[in-house]
Amino acid sequence: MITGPETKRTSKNEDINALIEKIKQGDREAFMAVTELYQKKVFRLAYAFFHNHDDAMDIVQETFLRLYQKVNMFQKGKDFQNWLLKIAKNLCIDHYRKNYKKSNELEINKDIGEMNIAAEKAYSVYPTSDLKSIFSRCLKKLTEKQRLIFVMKHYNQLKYAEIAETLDIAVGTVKSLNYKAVRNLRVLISPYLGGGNE
Amino acid sequence: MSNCKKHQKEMAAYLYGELPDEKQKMLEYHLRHCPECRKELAEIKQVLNGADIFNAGIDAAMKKVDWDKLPEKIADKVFKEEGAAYIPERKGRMGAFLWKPRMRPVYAALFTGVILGAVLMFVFFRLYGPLQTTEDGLHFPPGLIKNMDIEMGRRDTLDYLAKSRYLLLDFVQSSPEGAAGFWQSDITSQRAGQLLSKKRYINQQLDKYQMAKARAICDQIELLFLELTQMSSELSEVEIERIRSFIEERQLLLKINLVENELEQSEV
Repeated sequence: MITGPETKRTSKNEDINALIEKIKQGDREAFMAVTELYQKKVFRLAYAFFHNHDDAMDIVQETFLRLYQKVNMFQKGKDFQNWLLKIAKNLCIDHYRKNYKKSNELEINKDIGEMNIAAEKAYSVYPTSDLKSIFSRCLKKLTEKQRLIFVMKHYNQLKYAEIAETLDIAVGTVKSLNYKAVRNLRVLISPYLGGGNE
Repeated sequence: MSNCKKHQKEMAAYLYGELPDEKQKMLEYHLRHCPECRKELAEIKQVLNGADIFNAGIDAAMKKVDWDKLPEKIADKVFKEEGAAYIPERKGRMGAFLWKPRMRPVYAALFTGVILGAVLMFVFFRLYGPLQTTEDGLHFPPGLIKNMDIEMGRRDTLDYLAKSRYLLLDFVQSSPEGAAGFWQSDITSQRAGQLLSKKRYINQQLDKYQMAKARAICDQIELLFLELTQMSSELSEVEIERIRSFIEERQLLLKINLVENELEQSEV
């Protein structure tokens, strides 16, 4: 019998559903198995969002604690990964609003001047670590939603439809917000890529 | 140009390989013929490649984590020695539905409604005082009943004056020969009869709420209609001319108009 990707996915979902049923009964092993399966995905999302190891670790732990608290609210037949990433995404936004929003606004305003001066330098002049921090600063200038969508698409490699389900919005909106994120990033980053700012 | 914009919006999806076949082919065809869009695509590609720099950072950060021990560490927090530290929330589907963020506008609207209702009630009672029970057992603030009475009286009087003015105008504008016939016609006598009985009804309201000016003019009109309806069969041209000059001398139509204006302005 041939087993295609569809069959694999179904059986994976069945496994997850069985594990979730066990978590509902308070099974520690099942909880650890689910954590092991999804911890890296949650970390990737949180790290790309915050660019900070400690924040990302906090989000991972808090996400699985929430998973345990809210496991009874998970509806059978729904995609578990999307549901879990939704929890992680909400935590990221809360954490960001609580700890970074004000300081980030100040930093953004301060940075604009610095970045324009630096813009005269060519792409190749920047060492990779500098480019990383420049890119991180540019990413922070995007709106929360644009940043989340870009992170989910580019770093978590989720499909548009999966992002739409996680964020509870239409696929078309995800596509258009991702395009806007890329376009804004292009405007912000083009001086550093040697293209100049049109 | 707008065609280019449409294609440019699809470029990120194209680079991520998420464009349906048909759209992908259309975009590729467009790219072959449009140097502007080729440049745009190259720049978007450059941004996405630039974003990849960060992938290395994520990978490096992931290497620092002990993934084998992390699930146990988190499980320790969740399940303490005595049992579960966090009890799973037992919210049913209904509970989950009621707590969804999309329900927030509904709660906000309900809350606003309650606040608005309370404010309106407060203003209402401040204006009209406590409720008073009518004979039928209905509860109304006393001021409200009085105001409604005055308003109804005012409207009835306005109606009476307007209809009377039209009747008198018809009479004044009819030819001297036709005037006698005008008052003998069924329609006119019906109109006058209705106005006479309406006058009896509004008398009480005019007295009760001391609308003296309106009362005086209504009395004059009533007398005139009485005279005309009683004499209609024996109206001579001289009589008609006398009544017409009476209307003109007393400037009855103008007075009716003035009283009407006054009543309209004194809306409760």
